[in-house]
Amino acid sequence: MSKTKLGAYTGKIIKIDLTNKTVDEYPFSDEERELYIGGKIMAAKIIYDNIKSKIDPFSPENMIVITTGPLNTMGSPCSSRFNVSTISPLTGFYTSSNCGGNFGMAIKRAGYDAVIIVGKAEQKTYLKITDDGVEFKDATELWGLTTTEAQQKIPDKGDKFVIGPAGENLVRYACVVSGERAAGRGGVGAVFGSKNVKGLVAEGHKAPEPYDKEGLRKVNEKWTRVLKKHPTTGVQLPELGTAALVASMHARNLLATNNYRSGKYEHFEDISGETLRDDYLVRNTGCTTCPIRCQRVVKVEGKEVKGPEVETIGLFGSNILNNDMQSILDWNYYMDELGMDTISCGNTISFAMELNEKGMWDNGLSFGKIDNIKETIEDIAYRRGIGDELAEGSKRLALKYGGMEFAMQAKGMELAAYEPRGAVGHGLGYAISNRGGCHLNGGYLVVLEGLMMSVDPYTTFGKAALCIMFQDLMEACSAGGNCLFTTYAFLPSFLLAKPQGAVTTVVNKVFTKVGLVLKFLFRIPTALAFHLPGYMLPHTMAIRKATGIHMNFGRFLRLGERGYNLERLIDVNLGLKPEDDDLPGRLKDELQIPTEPKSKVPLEKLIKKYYRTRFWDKEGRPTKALLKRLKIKE
Amino acid sequence: MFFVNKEKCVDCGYCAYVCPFGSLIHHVEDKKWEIDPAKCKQCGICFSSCIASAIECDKDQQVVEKVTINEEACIGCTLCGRKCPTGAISGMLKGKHVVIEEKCIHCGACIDVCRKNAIVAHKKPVYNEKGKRNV
Amino acid sequence: MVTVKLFGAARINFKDKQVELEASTVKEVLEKLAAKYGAPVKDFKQFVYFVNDVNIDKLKMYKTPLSDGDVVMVISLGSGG
Repeated sequence: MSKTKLGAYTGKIIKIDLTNKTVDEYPFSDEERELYIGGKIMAAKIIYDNIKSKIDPFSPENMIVITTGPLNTMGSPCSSRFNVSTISPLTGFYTSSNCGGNFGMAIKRAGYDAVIIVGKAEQKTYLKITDDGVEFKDATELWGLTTTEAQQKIPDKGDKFVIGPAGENLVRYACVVSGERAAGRGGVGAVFGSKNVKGLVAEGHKAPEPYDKEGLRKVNEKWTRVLKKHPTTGVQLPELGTAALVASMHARNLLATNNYRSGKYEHFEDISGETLRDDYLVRNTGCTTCPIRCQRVVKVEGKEVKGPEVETIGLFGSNILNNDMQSILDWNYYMDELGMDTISCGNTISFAMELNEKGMWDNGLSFGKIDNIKETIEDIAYRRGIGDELAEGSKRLALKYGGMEFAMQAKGMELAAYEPRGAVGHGLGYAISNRGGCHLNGGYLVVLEGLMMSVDPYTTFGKAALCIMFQDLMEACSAGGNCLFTTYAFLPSFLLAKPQGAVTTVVNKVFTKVGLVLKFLFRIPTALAFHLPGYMLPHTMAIRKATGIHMNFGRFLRLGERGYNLERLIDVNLGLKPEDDDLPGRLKDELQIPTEPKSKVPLEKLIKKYYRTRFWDKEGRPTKALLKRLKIKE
Repeated sequence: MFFVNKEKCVDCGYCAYVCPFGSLIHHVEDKKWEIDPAKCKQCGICFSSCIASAIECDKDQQVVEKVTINEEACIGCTLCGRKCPTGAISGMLKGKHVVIEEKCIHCGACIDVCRKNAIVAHKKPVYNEKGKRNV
Repeated sequence: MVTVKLFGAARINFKDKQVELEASTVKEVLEKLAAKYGAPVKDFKQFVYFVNDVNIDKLKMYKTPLSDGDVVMVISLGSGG
């Protein structure tokens, strides 16, 4: 019996073998919990220990690893986030997908820190998880249902985590849905489908006890207040949602337009967060435990449904030259129901449009033509007609039809809606990200390069170091079980109060020099051994009080560094080469703004700096010395 | 009695998620939650879970800390087992019933239904003498 | 006359999509907005200003001169995912 001396953990991980219909406990020690606390980092450890060479993501050998974080069920704000990791059908590398639905809390309340699924079920199956164990149940009646229908039809009580038709049909970017939130990226839904698993249902009643209950409660209470007061988490996100960024991105040449041929969209106002709020919003809502409430509620076909995030608006709006907001609301709903990543879907469609435009593939899709998008989305989910090809993703399409220079993907996963020629550090992030073209796993540098701070978006100076620090920060934040939006208070209010005032202007100029300081600090493992002041990063205090694990800013970054490097190691074992840390030619070779010679991503230079600052060798592999320092055994 | 301080409530819905009795009412347009006193069993789980510490109670409020069944008084009617929201009471019809501590969430639902006063609720105060929270 | 378009917190607080103003510098725009909406000028310093799609930090900051027909965008800081 694997128990734990730490607070906030159940102490139990189970491994479900679909082929043999067995359930075993998966051993995980407290020492491992301290090093790989939860979420994507714990999942990376499990996958690293079990998958050592290339596999077919649709084979029974692939693992689905669903992990919770220590702060799940600990009464912290924004603490419902859980993770599902696997080897991605899009990239062939490690992918982790994060989700704000209740399923993670449910498995933890049922007594499990994580659930591992291997093998392949003979029959269409769903799994029922309670504190009494796991049942393999017949999913025949559920197969073919949308994500909402399937969750309603599962007769068992509890929280559900299901795929839609897209996952069943192995669409390479199919997602998994818990409630209304999706574990969107990387194609985890297709891996479920390949195992004949429609989904899971979990019911639990008892959360683990924290190490210092009253101490934790005080941190949680103050943390919640800070989030409510901060202009981003307390005003922008609840009022306008992530959609608020449309205007901001357009202003700063960051709004992907016309398949990333521009960073500005003439009709951006029609698809802005302000228009969404003024003309379409029913109300805002949010995940359980979240005081931010960034989720939109809108009307589609007379029904109140979840509204789109900025990524979907950009990729189904400006990027395909569409300024009809209602159509974006409709398509977002269909993709949620069919269970597909809106980012990969949107970018694959825009790539197909450009192939059509250039006469390279006659597929009937055109920029600005919106009357056939709904049927295209459905055709993808059911692999009908051109949908069968679109379901493969933009990289595989480019391998077949050409146009790799404008297939907007990295490592095979499509890029987010930020046009990186407007923020080169962000471009580095897309290229280097372990799971492929991800803005978050890539460090989300666009926040510094325009959206919240105004660091020079074209300079390469200090960008690698900043990218690394933010990657590590966000990696650790997610692993703890929190929504990444809790890191927005990391940039203190005084910097944001007067963004074009004298003080902030100076800070923007010297911010990249912070990169130099960071480079120095990275070499000292015991530096930064304090909690950041002013509730900039309460995560460290919360994790300490919840688990008893010794945690501070330095250790938090180290934790993220460990997780990030572990993911990288998995990828190296699966065949990752330096050529995979790349961006499409358009972003490296063509100027976004003809009169601005720096408006393209100087990737080679950035990658070299990145490898060096990460302590990787010239082939982009973590060095033995680094792994030793991080306590990762090879 | 437990009640929601509406000024502090941030509409996160966690109280409703953890409540074993579905006693939280959502005022959707006001973005606030409220405890329905008719359904509330004063278990205090929402109180200890609230991210904003927005749930309040009287200074002398008590909650169940542990539940035990008096073997001699139990007649095995199974009512408590059926009422338990977490399946934490085991026992056969006409047999002695016993609390499974790992599953018990100390909600007190079983206490009310026992007609033989066989269930003993060990309670503790929410606030200690110095006014500090125990829960 | 210049057209001032409000986004983000400016739109939330002051409700208008856009206003027409007489102003010869960006600084004057802030002063006129402050007068129009009855809020102190410093409240308008929380926004980022663009003139004809160019950030004023590439021009002359608040001293940036304006001509007839110019479009001033008032943007909030923000973040998403």
